[in-house]
Amino acid sequence: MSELLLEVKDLNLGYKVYNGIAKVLTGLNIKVGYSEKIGIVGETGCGKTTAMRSIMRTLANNALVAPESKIFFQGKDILKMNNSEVQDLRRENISMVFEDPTASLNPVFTVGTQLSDIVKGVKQLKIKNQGEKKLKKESIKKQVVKIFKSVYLPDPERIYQSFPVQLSGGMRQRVCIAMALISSKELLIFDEPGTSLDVTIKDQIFKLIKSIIEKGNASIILISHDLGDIKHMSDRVYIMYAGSIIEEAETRELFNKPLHPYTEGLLLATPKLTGGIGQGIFGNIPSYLDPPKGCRFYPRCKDRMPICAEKVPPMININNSHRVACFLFNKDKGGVTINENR
Amino acid sequence: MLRKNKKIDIPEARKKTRRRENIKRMWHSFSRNKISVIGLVGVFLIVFMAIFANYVAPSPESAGLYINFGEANRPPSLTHIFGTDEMGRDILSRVIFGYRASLLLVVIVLSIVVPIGVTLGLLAGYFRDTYIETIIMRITDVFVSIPPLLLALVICSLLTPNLQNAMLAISVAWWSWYCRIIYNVTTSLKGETYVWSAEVSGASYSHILFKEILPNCLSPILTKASLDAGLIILTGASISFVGLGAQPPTAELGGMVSSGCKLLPEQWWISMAPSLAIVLLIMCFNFIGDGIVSIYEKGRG
Repeated sequence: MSELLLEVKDLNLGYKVYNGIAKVLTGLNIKVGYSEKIGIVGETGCGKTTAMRSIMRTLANNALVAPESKIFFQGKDILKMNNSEVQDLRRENISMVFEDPTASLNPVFTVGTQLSDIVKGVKQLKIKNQGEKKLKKESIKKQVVKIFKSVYLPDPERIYQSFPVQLSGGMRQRVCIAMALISSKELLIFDEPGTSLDVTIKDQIFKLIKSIIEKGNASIILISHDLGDIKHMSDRVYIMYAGSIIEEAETRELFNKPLHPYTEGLLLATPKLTGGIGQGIFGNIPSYLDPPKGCRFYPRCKDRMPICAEKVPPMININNSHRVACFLFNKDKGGVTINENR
Repeated sequence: MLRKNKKIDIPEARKKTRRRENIKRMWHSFSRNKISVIGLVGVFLIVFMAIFANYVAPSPESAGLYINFGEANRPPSLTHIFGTDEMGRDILSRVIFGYRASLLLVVIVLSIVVPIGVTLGLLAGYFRDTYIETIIMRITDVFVSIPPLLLALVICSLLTPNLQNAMLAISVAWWSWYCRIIYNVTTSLKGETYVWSAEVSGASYSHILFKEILPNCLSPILTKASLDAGLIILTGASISFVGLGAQPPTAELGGMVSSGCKLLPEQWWISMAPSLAIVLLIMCFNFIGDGIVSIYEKGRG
């Protein structure tokens, strides 16, 4: 366990809603090593953000976490921490960048004020723990301007005094990334950082993220719909469907040899510049209130077998790093081996 | 000259102009409605008169225990613009002193009610679906369900009738509305990503409540407060009209109306002047309220 930074173990989570319990996450397992770059891919509503929320412990009040679920961060169980420990964790160890930069900045304060607050918060912790001296207003500002420069924001002095509405989308996302970089963290979570930006700005933001990755040695969790981004940014990829991991592999292997029918569908659904819209996958994510009894992908699967409707497929090791949750690759249950199938 | 120019701190200068621009923009949207400017001027004049009542009023001694039967029951004339009452006191002076009591009532009640109601509302809204919300909101519901005037009258009748106790009674009856409004705003703001991102960066509860959510609740608070000012004056006047507020001989608008209404058909001016004064003050406050609504209705930025 010592070589893992973060380990999500059997995370089961439901939301209590008016007509029952929506079972969103079922047995989620994610492992993140030190300075490893993880990509998580999945459809909208498949529980990616919920998983990140439970790592940050910012779940909604109606969320129910199963007692056997565990999230270890450097050996400590996040789910069992008390409030002040969680606060310290958020200040010191984990940062998160959100999908919508417009919404994640408070509209009534200048950008500079908001960043200064975080600088102060981080400093307070150091004052508490290491007895450092309080910062003066000027040096806080200098620090914020320095961070702005590090994310290549033009004219940082002006941006320091701007309200979020006065900045463009790309600038706002840079500010958000700057926010996450204020103190050096062990884990950075990027929750679809490019989704609300246009293509060229998105490209710049991803280049920025990439340069950050290369500079520091933080671990990264990158969540995205876009397989292209994931391919360039990550070492290992998790494919998520309806609340559980269905395939995990090293990035190159996953793109060369996708096994799960859903992964194949995802790859085919990517629009290509060379023309045509991909085949894609028909249908939607099943209702979480009444999910299919067996494999949750069963209603949409093109390779379905009778057993899939009955039992939840276990994780099957294909090789050291490649694992897939599908009966197609289970010899004992009447499935076929990879070589026979493809 | 060049060396001097180098010394100018550009960011500082920008900050100042920005603040000035902000005020200008707010004034522009406030003054688009001319009536709200009239309201603002009216309230300024009334506040000025109330503060300097001793110098402004034609006969300051009329405010207290002063009897001059030689001048009693005079109709409006040039020497006494609103006439005199049954004890010969100048009604204009008493109205000016009455404003003092009414404005004091508004200021004190609002400064008790707004912080309490807003804090409770923020707590209940942020800790939604927990026992904190249940406790705060169920108590609030009890207070909301009783009409404020009735509750205030009941509390006043239990206490010694004077101005302080009237203020206390109105505050007890009033805080629940602020709690209710801020609770609703907070529950919707709680889902905003910036609140979440503050949580994620390790902000404390007090930071999230008072520095992330509260500044975004400012417009409903200000609007409600400016519209409430009139209602609080009215409630205060009603309480002293029934004789549970400030006791005579203190000049208080509600009490003056009440003392004049026994002599109503003949000596109409005794109760007319304070009634008009109440109407004027409430109107001015409501006009300002409309102006504040128009500052915030377009959103900031």
